[in-house]
Amino acid sequence: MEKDFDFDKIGKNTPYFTPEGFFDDMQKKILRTAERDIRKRRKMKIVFIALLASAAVFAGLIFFPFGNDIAPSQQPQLAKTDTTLGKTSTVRATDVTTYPPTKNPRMIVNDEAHINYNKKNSTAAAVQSDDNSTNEEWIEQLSDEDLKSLTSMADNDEFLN
Amino acid sequence: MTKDETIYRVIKSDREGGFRILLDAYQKPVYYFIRRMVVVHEDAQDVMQEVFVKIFLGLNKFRGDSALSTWIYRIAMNESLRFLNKKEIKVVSADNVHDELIDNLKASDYIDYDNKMAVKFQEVILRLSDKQRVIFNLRYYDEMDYQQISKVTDTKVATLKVTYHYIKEKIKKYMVEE
Repeated sequence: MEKDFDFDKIGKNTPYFTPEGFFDDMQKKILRTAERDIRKRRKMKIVFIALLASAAVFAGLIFFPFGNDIAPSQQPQLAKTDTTLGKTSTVRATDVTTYPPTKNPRMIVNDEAHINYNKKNSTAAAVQSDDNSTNEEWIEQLSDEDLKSLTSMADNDEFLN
Repeated sequence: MTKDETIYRVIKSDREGGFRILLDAYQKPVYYFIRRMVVVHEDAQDVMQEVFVKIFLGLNKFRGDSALSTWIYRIAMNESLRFLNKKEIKVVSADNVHDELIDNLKASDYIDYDNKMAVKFQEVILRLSDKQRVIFNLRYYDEMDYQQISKVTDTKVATLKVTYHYIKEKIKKYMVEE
């Protein structure tokens, strides 16, 4: 070799070359691969969004089940009314019935049941008070012998003993 | 308007059309940059495909803050080094990789063995470290200025200047010795 190497002598020459038509073929190949990769990425994006949506629905089912009787829009209102009345923040079953009826059908049914129950109770008390007075009159009319025979019958009554 | 500005403008309105222009402009220089790094044509082909697919997918993120050429060469450099690192893992050490690259240069397809001087010159370049080869190739073959090389390699301009002159002296020495 020469004593001092001259870079200009060799210039930008390299021994590397490519097969004929390589760059044209390569360009097509690159475009095909790039488009395929973009489609793949889009699909992945859709799958990811779908997974996210289903996770949100699942979380919704866990934290807000269908069994919640009080409508979510009604809940803050109830809490607010409680504080204005000076009560504790705990909402009791009896408190709920004192509020104006909501549009929730289950609540309306509950209210009706409560009213019916109250009606039944008051009727039963009235009937009971009537029954007591007639019984007392009937017992007063009984003779001592009749009473004695009745009490002897009561001794054998398995429900009274 | 520079070549890069034209490509960038087309890309903004028509990504695929802009990418075709980019391929026309950069396919050859990028291929030869990679080829000088990995030597074997088939390897250079694989790496180049990876580079341009990455460029195409990353076009949306490219804001034009740096020159398009800098961005493209940076991706090409990273992919070439990644390829060589993978090889390094397979063949145990960096020295062995360099030996393998020199062996490939001596017996591979698509190399002009009649041009003995050019083959010898490449063999000497292959004895440099990967980073030194990147700097030398970008400066000597791709004629980048130190500012551009600094952006591609994340190295200070002063360091690059010193390194390039050191590399040149090393090459001269090798070429004279053998």
